[in-house]
Amino acid sequence: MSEESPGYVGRSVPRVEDERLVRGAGRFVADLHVADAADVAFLRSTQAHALISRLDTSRARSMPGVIAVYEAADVVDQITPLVAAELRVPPGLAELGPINKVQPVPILANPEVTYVGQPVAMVVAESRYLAEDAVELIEIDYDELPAVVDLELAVAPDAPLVLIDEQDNVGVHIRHGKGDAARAIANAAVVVADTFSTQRHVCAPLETRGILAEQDPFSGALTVWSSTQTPHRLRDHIAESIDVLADDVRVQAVDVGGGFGQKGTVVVEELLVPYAARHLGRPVRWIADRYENLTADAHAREQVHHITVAADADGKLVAVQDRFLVNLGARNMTGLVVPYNALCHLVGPYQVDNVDIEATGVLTNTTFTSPYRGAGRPEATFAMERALDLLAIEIGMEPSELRRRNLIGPEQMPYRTGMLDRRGLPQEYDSGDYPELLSRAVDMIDLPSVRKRQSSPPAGGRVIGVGFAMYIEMTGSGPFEGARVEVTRSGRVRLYTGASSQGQGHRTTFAQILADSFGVDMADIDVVAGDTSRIPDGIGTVASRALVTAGNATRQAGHLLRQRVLDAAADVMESNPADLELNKGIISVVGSPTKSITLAELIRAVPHAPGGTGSDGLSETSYFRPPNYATASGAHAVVVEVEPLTGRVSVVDYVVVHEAGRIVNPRIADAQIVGGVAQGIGGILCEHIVYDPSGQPLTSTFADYAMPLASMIPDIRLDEIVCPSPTNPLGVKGLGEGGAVGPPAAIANAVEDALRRMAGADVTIRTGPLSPSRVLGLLAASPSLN
Amino acid sequence: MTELTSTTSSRRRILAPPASESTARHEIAVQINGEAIEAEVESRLLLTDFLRERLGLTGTHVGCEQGSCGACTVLLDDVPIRSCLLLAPQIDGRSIRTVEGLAERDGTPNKMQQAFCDHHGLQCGFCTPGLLITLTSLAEREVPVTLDELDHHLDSSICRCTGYMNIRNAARYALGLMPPRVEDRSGERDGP
Amino acid sequence: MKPRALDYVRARSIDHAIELLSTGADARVLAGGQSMMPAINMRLASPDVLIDIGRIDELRSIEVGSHLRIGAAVTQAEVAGHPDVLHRWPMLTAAIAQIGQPPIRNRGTVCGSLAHNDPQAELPAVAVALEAVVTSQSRRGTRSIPADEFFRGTFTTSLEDDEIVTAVDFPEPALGQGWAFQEFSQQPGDLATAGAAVVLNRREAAANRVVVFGVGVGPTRATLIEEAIRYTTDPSLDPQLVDRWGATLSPFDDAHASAHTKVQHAKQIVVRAVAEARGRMS
Repeated sequence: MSEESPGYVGRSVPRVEDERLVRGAGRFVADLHVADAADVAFLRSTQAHALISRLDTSRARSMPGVIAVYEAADVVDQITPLVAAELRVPPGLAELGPINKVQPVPILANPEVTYVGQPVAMVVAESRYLAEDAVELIEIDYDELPAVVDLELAVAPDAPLVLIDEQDNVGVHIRHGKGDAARAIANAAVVVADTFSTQRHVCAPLETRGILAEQDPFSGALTVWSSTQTPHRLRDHIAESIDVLADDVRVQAVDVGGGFGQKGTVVVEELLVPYAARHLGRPVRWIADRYENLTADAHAREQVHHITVAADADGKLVAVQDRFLVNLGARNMTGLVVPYNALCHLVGPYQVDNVDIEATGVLTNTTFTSPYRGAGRPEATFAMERALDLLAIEIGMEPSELRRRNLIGPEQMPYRTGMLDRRGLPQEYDSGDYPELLSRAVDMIDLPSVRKRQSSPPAGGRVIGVGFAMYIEMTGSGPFEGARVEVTRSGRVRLYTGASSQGQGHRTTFAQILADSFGVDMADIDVVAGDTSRIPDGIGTVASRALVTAGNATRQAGHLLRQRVLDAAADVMESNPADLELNKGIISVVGSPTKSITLAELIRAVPHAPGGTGSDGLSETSYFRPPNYATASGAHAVVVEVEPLTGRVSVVDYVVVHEAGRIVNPRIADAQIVGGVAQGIGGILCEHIVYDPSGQPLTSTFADYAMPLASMIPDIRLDEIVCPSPTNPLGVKGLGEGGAVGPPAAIANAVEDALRRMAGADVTIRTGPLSPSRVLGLLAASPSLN
Repeated sequence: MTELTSTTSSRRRILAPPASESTARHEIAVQINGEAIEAEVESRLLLTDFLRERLGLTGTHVGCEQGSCGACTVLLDDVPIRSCLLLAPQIDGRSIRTVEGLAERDGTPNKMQQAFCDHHGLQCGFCTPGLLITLTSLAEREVPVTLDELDHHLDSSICRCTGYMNIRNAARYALGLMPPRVEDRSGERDGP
Repeated sequence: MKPRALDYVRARSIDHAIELLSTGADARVLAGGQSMMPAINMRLASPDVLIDIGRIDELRSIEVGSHLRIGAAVTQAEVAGHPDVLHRWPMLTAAIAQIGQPPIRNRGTVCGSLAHNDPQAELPAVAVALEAVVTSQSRRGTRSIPADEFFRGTFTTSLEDDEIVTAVDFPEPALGQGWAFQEFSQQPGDLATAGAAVVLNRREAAANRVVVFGVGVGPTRATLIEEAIRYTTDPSLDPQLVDRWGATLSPFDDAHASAHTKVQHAKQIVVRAVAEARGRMS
């Protein structure tokens, strides 16, 4: 379209967000000063599973500085228990006969507590210091119940119940496939069966969750400032649970310091705080501390896959069978999201005719879990890509060659897998060129040179290895996202959308899109994302969806507004819309540029225009409903160094070749990939949420939960190919999560390669983190070394 | 030591401890970003909370309250320290510089701040103030900084978004350790 | 989390600090606070009174003569940055470079680390290796406590409740001495799974010290190794001897490292540190 070029889309425009953030002028929830705001601290369960036998809040209630204390009895009739919106099952998947238990979350627990960290009472006080003092004055006794922490133990026949009112510990179950995997495996030339697990992680955005609520003294409406990834969902949850109209709840996601999935799940604290603000007629805020963030906010990633892959003698895959468990924590909060994502991404870029995958979401007496960047894909990719490496070893083939032989080709696009996607519709990959991704990754990492170096003796006591991982990611999930655009009184153009940012730079990328589709300079655009009072509907920024959904909605809205502006200008200028053009915010008559009007002049003139349309100001709202997923893909290749004497693993070279459709802002896109890779490296090398067998969390501070530091992350080398998505007019795909999907598998493959080829070890890496301790443990257990 | 201009601002509203706070009070006189400030603080008030809650200097962020993450790093008499591990009464008579005090006198961002913008050295921006404090103090040092030293100092902050690569590049550039980033990917990218 | 209620008092002098400490209240001495404040913020420690000795002039000095005297309020960064320390007590500089991150060392004190005696801390091992002497003071007078007697196991020292550490003295290293400081952690600033401070003497081999830390307990001399290297100049240790020594260690498993790993790391670190110290002998 001529109107869209030459434009901003496709250029590394500097971020408009940055200047205020580098000056310390960002405004995160905890930075908002609202006069008289009271602070909250929670009494949280110290038991993994117990019945509260006594709860006495009287001393806390009478402590000076305490404004209110809420326990279950105070709110049970006031706030409806939380049922997450994610628990829907689309009709297509319902036909598979899934289990997806609806397990409403009690607002405050009593009598049963089901994990350490569960909120039992909420103290509202003049300061967080005083609130914590008061929490310590609450007297509580428990009668302990049997707890279960381990996934496999939780589904064993004699397992204790995680929730005493349930029949078993299964929250989710679904099985899906195609062909006849059992038969194909029975007849296959080569079969590899093993167990690969991803250990429990936590998203741990540097800003913890926070919420501040205030009741408008005039209208009585609630204003809620939040660090949520999903402002409209939060609004609806609040309205529903405390029984007010959604119109009377305004949720604003302000500056948000990372989310990665953790802030995309609504939690009971986010309902209690607005309730208290209304109940007390006083602003109330809760800012989670790091201890709460690591122990009592959503965890993620814990899965165990029992996977079998089968191939013919040439390495052509004939079947994949996988039975896997997902640790849901103490309740089913997000239903099929993670289990089904893992299921329908497991086979990924490979063509396999026989597939049988069974996913079970298991309850345990641990903190609830949420999707975390990749949401099931890194875990599934870990299982699949590890299994492929074992298969390559079995056949005696270069692992990258095995992959090459099984990739779906670009000529097969769009490719129907024969399975159902997350919406329950036939799964179709829209575009991509997987062989090209792999071939570039093999070239960039210089595989022959690594193999050559491996044939020389180890230098400095260090061995090296190379690993690959490939994946696809069905991005841009619906059902919709919206954009409202308007010309403001000052003649600027403002965009409102529900897809708020947690650091992704939406104010920049969406402005690039709008500037092109509407026809103004970016400098004349303001993006306001995540304010529910500005656009009635939205979903939020999760699941690599914002650019596809909100980006295309923005483009549509920009086109509509452009036409509306031209129509209105025609009225005001008493000419024909077809004779007008809009350029850099000025509407002029084609061929006589002196006859013109600015947007600021136009907006003021509209109400006075004779014979005008009689409609309101210059504003348009548009929702984009993606017809299908936009499937992004990537190939990761990595070289690691391992020191067998200490178990230290270092990533020395990391290559990503990705495909995510048309790129709006290359620099921002690259940085999203790199950030994802860093989280993946941390995930496979150091991050691990550990519980003891009784359900006590052992990693409750950053001293115990190891986050990757700069020296763990090398400079990542990137390349990309572009296969514009046919599913949306911009041709874009999501890429927020992709970077995080590959590293666990690629690095585990590389470490195992190093240990097998150069250290003479007979080891199989089945889980992370690949801490020095894990690596030394593997070596100590290697039969060939002992 | 950097010379700080002393200006007493009458506009700044300094909040008092909550009435029900029971711990002993202290009168402190401090220089914050060159501004002389006198305040009453309670014994247990953390420096982070003094800056953020009492003075409204919310650019200093709280990430862990135990010294690990670096988000709360400020300069105490020009030396980077974790403000979550100091009590407010400890800074009586001393000077503090926060991210709000990093810009040049004319208000333009300092070299490190500008480098972060130019190299996309931040995403959510939450860890950024702590890193800017640490790196600005390196940049203001008289002895030249080596690459190894820079890497060592980068390890004093946790960033969850960026993967550190662009932070490293921004810092190298601002410290004169590498030429400006060659913008090789700015052109339109379309079609294979 | 936020600290429990406590009172903060800034001591004007050593005598003032001692007086405050002997009032009978649950009082703790605050110097750099880089170990104590995390515990206070997490409400794991909650003294009634914190006595801040950080601004006492008498405790702020580094004295360099025939020995090195570090006052109790001197930060680790100040010690590491002192040119005489770098030249004459380089092990201190090397060990301090491994403590936490730079902003931690800008507040944390050398004496505070000794008094805290975290089993994974660097400086207690250095104090034992370099035969430092801790000076403490109370109403009852002044004591000099050799490092060998000062550290009494995990988070415990021979300091009495009414005593404060005022300084630590490091004697001049013998001529030709070789030294090494090594530790292992997965990432910089992490607590070490194992570390070693080694001093080897040309003339007086009996004064060799191989001090290990992090392996379950605080600074511990590896006497088996010390004895073995008395009569040899071979930079490499006999692997069987190292294995035998490793078998004497009994660390615990924790969330990050197995006992097996800690022993492996201790063995590697000792081997490397002894070799490095040999290389530095002149």
